Amino acid sequence: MRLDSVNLKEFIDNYIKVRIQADGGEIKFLSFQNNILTIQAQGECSKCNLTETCLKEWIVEEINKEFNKMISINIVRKKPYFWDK
Amino acid sequence: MAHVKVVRRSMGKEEWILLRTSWINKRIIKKSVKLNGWSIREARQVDEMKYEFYDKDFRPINDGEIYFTPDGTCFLKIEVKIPEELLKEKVYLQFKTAAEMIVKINGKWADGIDPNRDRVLLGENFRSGDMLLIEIEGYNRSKPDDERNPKSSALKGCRQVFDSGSLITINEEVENISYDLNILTETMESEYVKEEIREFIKNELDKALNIIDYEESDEKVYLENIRKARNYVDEKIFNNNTFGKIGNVALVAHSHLDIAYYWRRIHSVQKNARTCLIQLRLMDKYSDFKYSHSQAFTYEMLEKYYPELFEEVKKRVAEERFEPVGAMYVEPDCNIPSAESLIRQCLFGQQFFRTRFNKTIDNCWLPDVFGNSWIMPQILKKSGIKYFISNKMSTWNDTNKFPHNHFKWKGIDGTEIYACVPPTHFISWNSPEQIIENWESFQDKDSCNETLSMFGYGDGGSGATAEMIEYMHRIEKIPGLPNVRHISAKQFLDENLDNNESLETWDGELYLEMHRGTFTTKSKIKKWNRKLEILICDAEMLSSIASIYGFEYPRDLINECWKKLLINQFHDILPGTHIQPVTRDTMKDYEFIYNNLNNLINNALSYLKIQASDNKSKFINLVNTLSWNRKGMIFIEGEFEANVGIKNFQSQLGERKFKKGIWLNVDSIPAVGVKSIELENNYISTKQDKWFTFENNILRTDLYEVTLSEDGSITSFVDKAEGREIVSRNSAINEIKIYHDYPGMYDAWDILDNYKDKEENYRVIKKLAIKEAGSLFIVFEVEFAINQSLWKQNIRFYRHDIRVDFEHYVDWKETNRIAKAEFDFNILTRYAKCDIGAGAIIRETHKNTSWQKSRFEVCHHKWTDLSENGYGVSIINDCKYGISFEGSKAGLSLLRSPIRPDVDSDKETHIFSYALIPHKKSPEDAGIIQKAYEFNYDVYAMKASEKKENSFILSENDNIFIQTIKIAEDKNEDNLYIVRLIELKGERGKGTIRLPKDIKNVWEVNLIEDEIEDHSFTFEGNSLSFNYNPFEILTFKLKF
Repeated sequence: MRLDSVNLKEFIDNYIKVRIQADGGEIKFLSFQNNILTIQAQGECSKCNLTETCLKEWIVEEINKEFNKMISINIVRKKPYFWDK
Repeated sequence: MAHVKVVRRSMGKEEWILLRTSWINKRIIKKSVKLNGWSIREARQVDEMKYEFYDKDFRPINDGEIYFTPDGTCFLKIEVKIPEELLKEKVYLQFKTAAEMIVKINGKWADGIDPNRDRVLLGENFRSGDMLLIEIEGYNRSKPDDERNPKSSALKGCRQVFDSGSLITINEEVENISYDLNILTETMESEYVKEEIREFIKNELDKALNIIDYEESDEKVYLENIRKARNYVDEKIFNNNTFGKIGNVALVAHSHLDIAYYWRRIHSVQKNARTCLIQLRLMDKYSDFKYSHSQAFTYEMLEKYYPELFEEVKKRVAEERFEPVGAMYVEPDCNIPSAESLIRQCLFGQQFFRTRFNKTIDNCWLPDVFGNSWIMPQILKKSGIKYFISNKMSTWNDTNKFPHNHFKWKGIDGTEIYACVPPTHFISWNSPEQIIENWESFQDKDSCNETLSMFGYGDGGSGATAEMIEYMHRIEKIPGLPNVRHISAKQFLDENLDNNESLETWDGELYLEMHRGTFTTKSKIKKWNRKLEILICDAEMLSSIASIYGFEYPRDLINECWKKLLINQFHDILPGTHIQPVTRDTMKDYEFIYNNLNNLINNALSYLKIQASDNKSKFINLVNTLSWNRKGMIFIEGEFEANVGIKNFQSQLGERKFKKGIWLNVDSIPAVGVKSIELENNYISTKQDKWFTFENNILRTDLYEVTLSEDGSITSFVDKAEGREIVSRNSAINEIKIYHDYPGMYDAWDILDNYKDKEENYRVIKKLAIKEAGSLFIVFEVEFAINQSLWKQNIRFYRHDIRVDFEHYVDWKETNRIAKAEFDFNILTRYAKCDIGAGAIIRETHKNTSWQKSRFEVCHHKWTDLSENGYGVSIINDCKYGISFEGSKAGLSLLRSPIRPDVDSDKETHIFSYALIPHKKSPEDAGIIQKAYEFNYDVYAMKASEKKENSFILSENDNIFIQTIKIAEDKNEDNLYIVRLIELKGERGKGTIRLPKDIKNVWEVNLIEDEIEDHSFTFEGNSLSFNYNPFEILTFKLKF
């Protein structure tokens, strides 16, 4: 499948996100430009120590499996108001 | 000079004791051999015991590698040769993980591992060359917000670093003194313990620890010193009688298992299996250990998927060590479900426990449920239950301390059951502090000598640990701590509550002063639950009627639908306090139930020749499933030509809840019966008949004069017949208000009392205008925008009825907002009457004391009424449960949008409706109850091949509602049916119902269908007459 913003958003929404939600996490697709995917980490992901490392690595791997291309990921954390001190 | 706090830098005695204790703890493991050679196969669970594998086959995994993926499951295995140095000893697998794992050794279920346990006994007295196959299934779903256990909270995350574990042997003597020291140091440090006892323990511990040389490398000498130290502790501390004991605490082991929450229901199958397995192994190890486990559904899953474990459980149940508690199918929400749903929770639960264990469970075990309806005592008692147990009111109330722990709970109908609200949290681990707190917080010491402390980890299952049991064995011996005994829940309840006449009585609902948002969050689930509760009773009733005439009753499919509905009433599903995947599962279940019930209804109606396959027929059979003759406005959904009407009836094409159809004003559809109508193609409407005027935003008819605002709110509503203005001066009714809603971390659960501090403005984008007008009704429409959300409202006024309908379509995209419909009535009252499903509760609307203030949001069902003597206004609704009151003001909660546990909770389209009915007399005498039922129960419209008009079943009393007709659970005899009746108005008298056929025999039964003799009744022909009491639920078994 062609790696573009539309396809990548669909993949994030339908494959990546549903799995992360099952662990209480949440990510949102923000943009895909210059081979950099920017996602917003919400819910449990917004405060998890593994988000920047293990989770990011897994998303890169899954995208590579689906689109046969390595990309970079930029994660923007959005903590819920009650943790955002 | 600045004040400088002086902190002691050198070690104090307490710190020195703790340090030496930690050195001893480190020497528990005698030998350790690192494991290598694991294989892994990663997967994602997609259904109960079904997986989507990421790896085609097992692949090697080594220490330090990352394993688990989000929503992941993994299968691990290793073949192990027992090392020579571990032979002839008890060998354990030590495996540290944040995940939850169940372990098989050589094909047999061995034990469970999770963040609270890392050790599995593999066996002892191995011979050289012995091999073991270790297989593990792991689920990485530890509850992410569980901060209670600090050891496990550090290990969170959906991906984990693999630690290959070790084979170990244990120095049991060191472990034993370690338990002694750990519990005593906790006692020493606890502020709950008297200073003199803490000082005594500190001094004696110090002396005991002085016996040991911590640098001793000779194991024999070290162990000899350990023994001496342990003897010292035994003699000086555990056998000390100087300080005495205070209080008595019963310790009951359990594990709270949320069927779905931060995990899907499909995962609870393994969570439950792991929990049961762990507890069974603890029973093997500790001969006195007993464990209590609730929810028939969890046993059912164990029986289906883990039959070997279920057989072990059965054996332990027979020995009275594994104790089924709770009587219900799941631990449901107890605010929102209908009376019939709560009854079925008990029926399916008791049926399971009776058939599998030959036991009727006499307690209702709901430690974590968010408040309990006043209808429950009757339902529980009539389901064979004597005791009610829930911890919530004692530990969660945010304002008032619930005044009892042991009491009699009196229900709406006067039924009393024994209730136990333990003083402390249902998740505890037998720490000395928890035991003392439990006794000290116990408020009914005058009437009871013993209190209940539940122990075991929970929410995601798990239960007791070896450490908790070891602590339990030592608490009794610690000076100053309460006496404890480890008993079953049943023993505790029987010995402390049963026949205890000194218990005080609580007469009212058990309102939880917390989690008030759960009446509204995930409103689509609540809407479907209401709809399906009605549909399933209709399907049973129509299938029963057809079956009386020879139709094969679809017992299995109806039961399957019931069970799916009941599971989804679990107290983290129906209240909306769960992650998004749980919502998706629930909606899938609802679709299954809806489709199957519709098919069943169609099949039954076809059999009864009420529905024809002839689509060209002009006749339509209207089917009424309510137990009274139904008249007034009804709606038939569908596409109709513009000139179509109903012969001999006034009709008008139009919408209901944003769906097209036709309205008609019927004279009467017989009770649980059918009436044929005929479509007319050249229908002449009486549209020109000017029954209303609308000028300057004032709608005038013979019945009322209403002033509407451009946003759809109503600033004046005059009931012409009574000459009464129902809107408070300079105020309004049906004002849609959006407030900021930031309750904190328990976002989906709670609403705070300050939610009205900040109001959100919205823009009216389509001002109020007439949308439809005809001979029967006029509809106004209005639209407004709130940030990104679109809100449409249709307001329908009827020609022949003073009722006003408000129908809403909302594309809701807000975050942390609550939407309310507010009503400020010109009614002087301090009370609201709220429907609770099997009767109505009267609630104070003033704020005189903290008790009324704390009830700023309450749960109601189909209707609420605010009245003064002789006149009032009722609000009826089709799916809304949260409501607030202040004086004569009411605020119906419409939507919320919390962000935890589900970031996108409720962000979707919603359609809902409510109606306003001004009335003379009391709501009961004004027929509000019947109107609320009619607002919720659709009339089925079926193509008919022949005209019909008949009633199958009728209640001759307007206060006796026929709630259920179903086939009896008793399968020993054919043609046995159950009829369940509810007295709705709070009256006493003699009632009569008429049934489809002559009755051959009648038995009065309770809710689990055991024969009882509570009422006098007679039957003759097709009539059954009986005496009834206020708000009573009566059930009869009939043979035709």
